[in-house]
Amino acid sequence: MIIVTGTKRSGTSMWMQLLTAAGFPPIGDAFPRNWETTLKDANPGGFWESELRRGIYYETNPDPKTGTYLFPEQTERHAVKVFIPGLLKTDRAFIGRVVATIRPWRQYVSSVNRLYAIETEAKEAARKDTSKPLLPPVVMSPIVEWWVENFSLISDIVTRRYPFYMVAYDSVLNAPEETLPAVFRWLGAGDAEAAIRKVEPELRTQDCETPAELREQEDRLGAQVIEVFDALYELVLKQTPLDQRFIDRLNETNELLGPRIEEAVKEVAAARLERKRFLEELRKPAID
Amino acid sequence: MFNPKRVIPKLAVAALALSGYGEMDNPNGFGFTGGTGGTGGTGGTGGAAGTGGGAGTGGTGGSSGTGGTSGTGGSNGTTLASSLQAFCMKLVECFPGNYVDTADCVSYLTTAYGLDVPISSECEAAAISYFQCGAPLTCPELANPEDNSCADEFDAAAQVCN
Repeated sequence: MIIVTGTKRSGTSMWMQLLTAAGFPPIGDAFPRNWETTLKDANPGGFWESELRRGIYYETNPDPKTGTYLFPEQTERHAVKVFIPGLLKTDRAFIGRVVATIRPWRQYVSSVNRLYAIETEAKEAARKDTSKPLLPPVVMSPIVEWWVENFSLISDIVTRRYPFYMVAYDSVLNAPEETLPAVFRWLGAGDAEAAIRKVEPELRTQDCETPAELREQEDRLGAQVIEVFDALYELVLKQTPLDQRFIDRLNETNELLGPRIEEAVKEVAAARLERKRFLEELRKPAID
Repeated sequence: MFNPKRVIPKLAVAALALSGYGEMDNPNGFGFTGGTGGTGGTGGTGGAAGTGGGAGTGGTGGSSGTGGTSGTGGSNGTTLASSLQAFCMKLVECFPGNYVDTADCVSYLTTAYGLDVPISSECEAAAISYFQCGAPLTCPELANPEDNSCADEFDAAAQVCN
């Protein structure tokens, strides 16, 4: 399969739209479930998501609902969105080529906060019984999530050595005429011109960064870490190869961020537990 | 629950290209550049010539004998694509105005050397030799392709690939 990967809000949906426009058959729906009515604002061109976003492995293939099994040799040309945690779990046999998209961390934080706001708003609107509180969300600190996912992706690439092309989000929007033909040449197929026509820079929702919102986070992370975050994106933007020196810097930064990552992982675990308790509380009256 | 990776392993190659290139049948070749070439087979006594290693271009065969020990392939599988990629990284570094990026350079040289169509094994070998020879050169040396230490490789590739 041709796997499109990245963090949330990093351009994975955009890449699915581009690959679909270029002629690759997509796996997934533009708007799964009720997303067309609830989340369309976050991705007007569609999300192109399927259960495989969690990875292509024994829990998702065969499809747990239908029993349908996707064979690697029958899905070589299919484009599928798999988020980074899912890619790490994906069986190597299904990884034909990986298009990995990355967004600057500041844009990511703003964008993901916007998505969560839309989600909360949609849930509020859909709630029948307004006297009951909303289900508590389970989300990781966006900035930690951006780092651990991109770091884990690079680690997985170096370990499993699958074919990949890492593309900066801005390159596609700002210079599709240069960026897309190179990627489609590498893919060995696809109508690059059709994909270029599909790029809609005006859909970008986070053009204006909000320094005030992020300044506090920058201060907490420290200049050294911020420098590495920015350097990683810059490297992808300029397509500079990763050398061992930079890999060492990434490892040092990850070590430096260790306590913060651990804390974020614990917070997510606690939020899951709280959510579970909340659901149990909701069920109680029905049982009584 | 997502378990983040704790470390990125050491690179097996000089640099990891982000604009991945390689062949589908070479699981080691994609996106990896600058690997070590294979070493030649050791000569033996009498018998057939030894052959190079499977992965990568391998080394040249041992002199005739009972078959020298197989050469080992490059650590990343040195293919035409990966050697061209490494060469282009150098060209882009030296002559940033000539190419938009590495991919652009790869595309240009692929066309220039006629590598975008099926090519002879002589052309492939000559092109790999030239790209491998050129990648470690200095920028001033590269600026003078007909008079640097890779001039022979340059001529050979130009002759058999066009």
